[in-house]
Amino acid sequence: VISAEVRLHALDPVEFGRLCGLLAARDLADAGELQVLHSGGRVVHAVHTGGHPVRELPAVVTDPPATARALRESCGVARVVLVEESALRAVAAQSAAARRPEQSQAELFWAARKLFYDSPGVVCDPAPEPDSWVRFAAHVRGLGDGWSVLAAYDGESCVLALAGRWQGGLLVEVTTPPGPRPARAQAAEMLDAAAGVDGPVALGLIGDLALLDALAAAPDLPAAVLAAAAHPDTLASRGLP
Amino acid sequence: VPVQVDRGGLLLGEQPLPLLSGEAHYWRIDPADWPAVLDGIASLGFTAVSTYVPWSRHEDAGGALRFDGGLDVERFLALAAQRGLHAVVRLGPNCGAELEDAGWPRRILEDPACQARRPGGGRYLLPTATGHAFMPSYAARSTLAAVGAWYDAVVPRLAPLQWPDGPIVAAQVDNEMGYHFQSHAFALDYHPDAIEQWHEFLSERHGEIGRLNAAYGTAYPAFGAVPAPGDGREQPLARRLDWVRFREHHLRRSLATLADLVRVRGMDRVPLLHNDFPRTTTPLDQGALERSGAVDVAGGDIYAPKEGGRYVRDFARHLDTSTRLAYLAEMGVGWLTLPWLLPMAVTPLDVEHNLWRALSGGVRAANVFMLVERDRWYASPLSVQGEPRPEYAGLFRRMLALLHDLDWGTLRRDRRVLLLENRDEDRLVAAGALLGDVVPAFSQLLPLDRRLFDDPSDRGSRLAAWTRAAASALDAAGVDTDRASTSALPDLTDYDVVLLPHVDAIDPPVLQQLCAAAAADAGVTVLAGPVEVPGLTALPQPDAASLARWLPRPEFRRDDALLDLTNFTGAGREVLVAVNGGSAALTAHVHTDGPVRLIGAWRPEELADDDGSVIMELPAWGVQVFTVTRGATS
Repeated sequence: VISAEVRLHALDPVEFGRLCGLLAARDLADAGELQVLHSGGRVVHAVHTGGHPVRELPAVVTDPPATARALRESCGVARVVLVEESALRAVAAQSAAARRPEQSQAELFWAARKLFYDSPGVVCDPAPEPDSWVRFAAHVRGLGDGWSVLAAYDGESCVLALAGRWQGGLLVEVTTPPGPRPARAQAAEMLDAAAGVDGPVALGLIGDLALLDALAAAPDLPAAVLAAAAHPDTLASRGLP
Repeated sequence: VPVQVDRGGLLLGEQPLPLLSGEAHYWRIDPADWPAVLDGIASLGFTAVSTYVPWSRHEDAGGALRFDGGLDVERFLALAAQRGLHAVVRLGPNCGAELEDAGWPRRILEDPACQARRPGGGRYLLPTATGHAFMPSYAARSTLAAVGAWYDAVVPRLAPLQWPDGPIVAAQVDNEMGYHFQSHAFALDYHPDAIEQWHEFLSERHGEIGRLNAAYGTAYPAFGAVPAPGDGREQPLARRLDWVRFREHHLRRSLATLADLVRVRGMDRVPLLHNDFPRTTTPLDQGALERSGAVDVAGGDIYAPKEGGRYVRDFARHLDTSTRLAYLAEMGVGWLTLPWLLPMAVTPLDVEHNLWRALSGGVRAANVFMLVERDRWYASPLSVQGEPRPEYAGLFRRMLALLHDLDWGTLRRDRRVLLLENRDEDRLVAAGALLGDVVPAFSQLLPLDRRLFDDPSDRGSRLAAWTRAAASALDAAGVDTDRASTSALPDLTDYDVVLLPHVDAIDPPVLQQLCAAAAADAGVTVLAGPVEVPGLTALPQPDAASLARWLPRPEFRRDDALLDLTNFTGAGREVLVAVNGGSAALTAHVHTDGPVRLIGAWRPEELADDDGSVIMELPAWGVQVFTVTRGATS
């Protein structure tokens, strides 16, 4: 969803740092996957994404779906991913071959992810969830070109505001909007006239800091953002379902 | 060479210059703001400005090179000189700098003849900033010819600006050369020209094919017939280990080639620098790079929040031990705003904490990256118009003034313990890596944990656990420790204790040196583990209790292991840097021998006691720098 030519500029370091802090804590969260690499059924290597030691692996995988299910139960992980080596080589080759220079980075990642999970040599238990970023991107594209605003209040004060400009479904500029910000009771005014934003605000989300905390803690961030209009800590929103 | 490298910085003729620079990207700044930006840099006390000169920005879509308007780097440097600032120019070709193509023109990245290759001949796709590209091979003649043409254009413009005729006091060759962030031993580079270098390497290493065949248990008719391995399961192991060594050699050779291209075009009166990303394991080797003579200074880059301060300190210690000038080419201040990298919060406290962590580890020269804000970056001390952000800029103004007052470059850490990184074990771990033709640059390209491609044996984890335990025990004891790779050993007789991680591999000449140091009359205790080494003292499990009998007593002892004390001496002065490595305020009893007076140089404070016992208080993650006076306090 981000243009290769995106301008990320004049960001307030404290405000942007606050957002980074929330997201950094999010990235430390572990998915709890057991990933097993096998070569024609013979297990080559396995890792637990949380760094836990891997024990009691079968030497041979004969029935991948059954093995994945059994491992998930015995190892107590959220998901087991069994990957066959030759299939993985094919995925890597297809992924490189399918790359187009004009693709956005997100499109490249989504295509790579789809190739991986669609491969017959990749067996997951449970199956992976659909990538909500794809849905998010489609939603934004449907809103047309314009600006988006994200803002958060700590009590009466607006302590974080970001403005992003969208073009053809891609984010082409992100900045901290300069100028005064409305008091909490008038927070929705930012959706009509965000300071420094020179066009219509098509997408907006303004809430208390607790909203950002909740979004950052959500396992599926884009899905949580798309559902944020109804969140109790949301003060105002626009363009969200 | 008029500008020489000194242990404390640079020497301009006879005049010492502390190399303390700030990064500003002229092409990202409105030329009308260049004077204000450079004024801002000078006003903080920096001695130099550093900038990339990015090929991809100077070359237009038609292939023409431009140096006018906002790309007039000569004017930018002239304005710096007018303000008394020296300059470091970073000539690429690789720049990073969150440029779409890492500073390479797109035509190079799209040229199959230039592209680095995987074991099966596939290309290497790297997410670059906000785009993606097939990254180039440094062995490819096509790449080198194109780079030569870039240097033809840029170096003759800048060479006349070398000191003493201009502000340039150093030039950097490439940036973070290291297989495009790919440490996996079998990921790159299998370009035909790289394979030719592999065969040359084998010839130099083995001399004749018979010797190689004896080592491998093979019957190759010629070096040119020896295939490059692409996976850690290929046999024999000796061939894989040769490949891992070749990858290290290839980096040094590539940097030497680029450095020569720069020197012959006239950039030959200043030291040439290089910077690695913050790793010290194969294929990177700062000590060996510098000893090879490819570049004059092998530095590094570091970015971390305060929670990573210990790592910053240890990387600095490695540079201080392994290189002639401990230089951070990118001392991260602020952080990038790109979406696919880990977001990082950077507060003034993070900056303060890690600057002093780096300095306490022995860093004497540093380039603050980014000192001047720009697109795709936040939390720089100066805005893109050169206006100071008081909470960050004030920190640098104070710090640079203090470093000047302390004559920082003349100070030396009091270290008598050396923790080695066993390069031979490291190479064995690397030689066990899996699926070089598959391993992605980043997990976004393949949703698998990167460790799935690591050596499946437990060698790496055993070595890491031993080293971690040793480092923790040394920290608990409050003993300052040097760090170096066995591939670039420092003078072992400088130490009381040397620690060597070992399972079953050690280079015979290195072992010989260690045994010689461990001989009774040399007075060095060499401890090895988790598996013992004949001739050295066994240390199966390092912990504070087992290490205590060998460790020297620190000049300053404390009763709280989170208080990190580093004692510096030089030119008759003594300085103590105190860092709180924890997230809570700290009160610790600190002891030294005899009367002592500690005068706070970073924050006003005075501690004194005739018995050498003082109580030190630091806020969470806080730092203090003391000048130390011995003798009666009254």
